[in-house]
Amino acid sequence: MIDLMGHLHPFLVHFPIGILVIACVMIWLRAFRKTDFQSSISLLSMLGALTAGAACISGYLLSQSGDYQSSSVNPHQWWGIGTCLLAIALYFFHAYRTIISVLVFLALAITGHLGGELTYGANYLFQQKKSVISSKEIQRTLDSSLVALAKDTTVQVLNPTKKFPFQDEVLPILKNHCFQCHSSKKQKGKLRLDSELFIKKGGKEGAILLAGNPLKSHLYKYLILPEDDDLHMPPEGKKQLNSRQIAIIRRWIEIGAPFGEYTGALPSSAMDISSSENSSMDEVNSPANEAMVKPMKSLEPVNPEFILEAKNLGLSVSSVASHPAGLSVNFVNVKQLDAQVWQVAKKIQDHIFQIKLGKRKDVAVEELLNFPQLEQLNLEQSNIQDKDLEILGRLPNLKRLNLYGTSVSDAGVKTLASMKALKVLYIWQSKLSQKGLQSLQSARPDLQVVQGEIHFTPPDTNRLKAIK
Amino acid sequence: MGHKHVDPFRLSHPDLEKLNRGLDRRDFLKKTAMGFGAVALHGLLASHQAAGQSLEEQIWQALPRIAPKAKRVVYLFMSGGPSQFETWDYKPELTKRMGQDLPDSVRKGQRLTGMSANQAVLPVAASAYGFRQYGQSQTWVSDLLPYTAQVVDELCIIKSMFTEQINHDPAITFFQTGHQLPGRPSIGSWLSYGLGSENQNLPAFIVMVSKDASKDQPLYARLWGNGFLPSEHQGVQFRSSKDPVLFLSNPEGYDGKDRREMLDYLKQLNQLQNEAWGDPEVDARISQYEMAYRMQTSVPEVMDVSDEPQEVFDLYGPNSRDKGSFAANCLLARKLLEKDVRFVQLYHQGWDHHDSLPKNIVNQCKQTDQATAALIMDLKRRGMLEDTLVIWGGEFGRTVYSQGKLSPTGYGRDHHPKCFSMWMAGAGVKAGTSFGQTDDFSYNIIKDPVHVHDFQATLLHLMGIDHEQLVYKYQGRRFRLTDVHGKVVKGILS
Repeated sequence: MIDLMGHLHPFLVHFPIGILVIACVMIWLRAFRKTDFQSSISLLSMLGALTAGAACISGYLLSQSGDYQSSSVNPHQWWGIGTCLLAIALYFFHAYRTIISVLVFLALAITGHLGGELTYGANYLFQQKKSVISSKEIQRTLDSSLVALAKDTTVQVLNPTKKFPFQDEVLPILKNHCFQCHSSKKQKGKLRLDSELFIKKGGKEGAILLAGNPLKSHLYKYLILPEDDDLHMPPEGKKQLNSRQIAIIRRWIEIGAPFGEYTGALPSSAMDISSSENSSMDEVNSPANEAMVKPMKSLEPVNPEFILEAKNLGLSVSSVASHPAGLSVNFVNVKQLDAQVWQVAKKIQDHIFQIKLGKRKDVAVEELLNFPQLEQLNLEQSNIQDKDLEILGRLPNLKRLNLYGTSVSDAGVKTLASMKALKVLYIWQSKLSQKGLQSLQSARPDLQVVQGEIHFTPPDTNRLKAIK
Repeated sequence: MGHKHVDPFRLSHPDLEKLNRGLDRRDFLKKTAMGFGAVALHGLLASHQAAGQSLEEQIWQALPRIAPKAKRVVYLFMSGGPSQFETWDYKPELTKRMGQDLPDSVRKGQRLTGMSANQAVLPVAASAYGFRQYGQSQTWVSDLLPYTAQVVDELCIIKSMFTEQINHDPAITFFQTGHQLPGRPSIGSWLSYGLGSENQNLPAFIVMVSKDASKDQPLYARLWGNGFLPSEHQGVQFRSSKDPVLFLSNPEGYDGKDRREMLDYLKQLNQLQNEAWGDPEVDARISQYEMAYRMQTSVPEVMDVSDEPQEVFDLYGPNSRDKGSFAANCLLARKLLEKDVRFVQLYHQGWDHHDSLPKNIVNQCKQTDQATAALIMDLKRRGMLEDTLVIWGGEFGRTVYSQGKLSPTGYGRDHHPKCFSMWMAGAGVKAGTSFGQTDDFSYNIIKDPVHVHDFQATLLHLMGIDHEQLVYKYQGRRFRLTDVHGKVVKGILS
């Protein structure tokens, strides 16, 4: 009830404004012509004083709700009380009505303006309307803020020994600075920050978090906008984050925004959470099969910067059919397959489902272990050997493997047979013998092995003569 | 950036104003120059909601995303209109009706070409060649295609294709560009524009024309032209003679270093022009010169078949060592696809059998049958058939009645747009199936008709493109490969 009274403040304030202005105008009109407004002026003054009182009370309740800092509310509060007192004076002191009415009018304007500043932000009155900020402008602001942060070497954030960076470091910041308006109590901009799901869902303008890329995450970007910017968070007048706290959030997003075991508040409808996401939590015990049982998280779309970077090093990146955010990477244009190339590929490692390294003689097989999602691997005519197969055996999701034209031989059969997910294997022109092939087929009858032997039956030339 | 040319007309035009202001387009080209096509880039960046979006980004975001099944296409175009009766559409009933006049109830007053419209009778001609069932799918295949018959379990045969055009030039233009009048981009150009090239050293769209075919109907370079798309997307024709690509090699006494230096200065000049005028064709020209320079080494390498073992030549057939033959081109097509060229199109002319069809078609099939089957199997054993789409087909079919006099072994067939057969194999299509059905005369379609635009929509779909979204604005109109038509043929998708 008290909350409701507070929330009625924006509604109630308009009554004293309207009523008292009309009272003032009537008082001033007496100076120009003879009027008979006396009784109306008295009634309006009384109504104005009463509604002003109601506005004062509701305003006081609203200021106690915790949304506002007392220092910024104070002037508005005292001017409001003053307006109310002046309205009362207007009712009682008939003889001084003209002078008091001027004072009432001024007080109304000042109170109203101060209230507007609280709601719409400082300087709203003379500010030019900005519907969209240009990306360049944001970039400029970002750059300068980044420089400032980078210079601040005292900030050591996200202690690596801490197991749960979100719970230990990020959550307290959100609790102290954001939950006021973005949690179960209030959802300004339709945004809640009190659970993993809500943070990932974003607000009315869409997603606010792009794991790995703070500059594309509004969760970070809005923090570092200049304080007088409309979009700056927390809004002007509220408790601000210090640079260390901003850096923590930035770093947390950079390392992929891990939530650890935190889930936070549950949404009202349980349907929002896919059951697979939490069900296998208990099973993740032995690190060996961690990759195996790791629940399939829905992939965020990859950061385009990384794709361009990969492209610049000659990697051809395209999307795949098997997964909406998955990528296929072809190394056909890469001249030298060095550490730098792998480094860039690693930036999109979780998105890579297919790799094509055909005809390369410089494949370092261990590097492929960086791509646990790998489903299809083209190593035809490459330098791969039997001993490398054991490393490939550690890729848990490998479904299609092309080894044609390699020196893979019978020694590799055992490893090939042990690749659980493998469905299709190309071994044409490898060193695999018929015997090795047979033992592979008997060990894995479900495996489709493409041998590549083609025997066309020569046509019966008699049939090429027209019939009859 | 040097000086900016100021021209009052340009400044007053809204499109050009944008050009002057932000040069968003240049930013866009910078991206595409790195090998991304418009759609590909969209696909990768899909649902990336960045704050300040450029116009292009907004366009990309408006495009829905289809998972690509095919990464490459090889299109074996049988120019002239192969007869469906002697290849894929088995009509055993016709033998009984041999020589009978075509019933009006079948023809239903359909227009005929001037070549047979004045014939007193339209005598039904049955195939002079037998059919047998092959493979696990037990598909009926003509005796003229003994090799393709052996890979029939890889094929998806569409027996219910139809087109709107009755003569060669408009029909083939319609098939390649989606419109019967010349001037629009070819399928390969659209794909190059939409997806960019996978291999930076080779064009995304390469064309080869068989030299051993009879040149009964001409082909024109505009069939693989870029139309209004930027000209780096036009198909590059590889020839069988000493220079596979014309004017690619350096003149005598002129070494690679000179060429590089010359190209660097030329690029600077072009860039000055570009800054002054902002004409996209200048960008296209710059990228074409760079591509040509890279092709100076990549093309001789890919065209060299001396490393291929004898077994491969045996596979593709006796003509495969004869440069420029269909068989040799099939072998080269495989090599190009191995290099991740996106769209390879082979043309084989000589299927326009108005007379002496039984005699002439034998040679046509002989030239193409074995190499076609070999290409499929060769792709398969290299693991490429699963992401390569192979297409075989002409621009229309042929009539059930004989054009000219009918004798048991001598007859001709006129153009027939109302039904014909083609097939696809490989990535994303149902192997070992037939789709659609024609009536007993193979004159009308009775089940699942597939229009040329439907075929084009399906082809784009398999490459991961929504045909309704691959749009290019030119002269105030937004153009598509499928114009305002086309439906993806879901029935053939695996």
